Amino acid sequence: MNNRLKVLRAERNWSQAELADRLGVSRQTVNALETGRYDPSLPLAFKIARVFEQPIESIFLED
Amino acid sequence: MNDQPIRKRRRLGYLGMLGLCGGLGMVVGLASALIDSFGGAVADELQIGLMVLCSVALIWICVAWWRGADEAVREAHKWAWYWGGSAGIGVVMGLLILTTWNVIDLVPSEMPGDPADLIVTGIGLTLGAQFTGYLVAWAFWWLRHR
Repeated sequence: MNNRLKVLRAERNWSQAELADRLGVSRQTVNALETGRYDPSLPLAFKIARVFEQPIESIFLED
Repeated sequence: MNDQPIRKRRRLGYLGMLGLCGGLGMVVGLASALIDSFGGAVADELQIGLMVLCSVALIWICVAWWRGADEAVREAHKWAWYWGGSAGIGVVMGLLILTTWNVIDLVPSEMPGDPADLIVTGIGLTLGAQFTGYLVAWAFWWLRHR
């Protein structure tokens, strides 16, 4: 699954570590999410949507 | 924009967990040696009590670490344990079968003769193979998800 995490993070000038702290996950997990090689669970996807204040479907895109 | 202050949770990292377990092992080893020397008639009972306490403490440390781990970290460990552990034990089973059929000869010249030692050797070999497979699979998972 593709996502806009990297773009959204860059727009806010957040580092991966900062986003990881906001999400309560490790930096490695943020990296895995950004590369699209790891799909988050539904609770984490909701958390991401809350942090970026955007609906889930505007962050995660189907292949 | 969500600019709420970040709530940082203190987590017991992987190395922290391994360090705590290793430290506990050293303390228990030292205590065990002291019991051996000064335990007297109740040395066996004290040793058993020490091992039970140590096991409970180790489980507590691992649970604390697991609760602090995020979902990708957990997924990596679960995947590694299943696939790496299974592959490791599969290799041992394959070698055992080939040795039994005399296809290969992996039996060392100096095998322990005592059945208890043979069992310990078997357990050690199995756990070692599982752990090796686990480490390889864990590294593979993170490399694949980078």
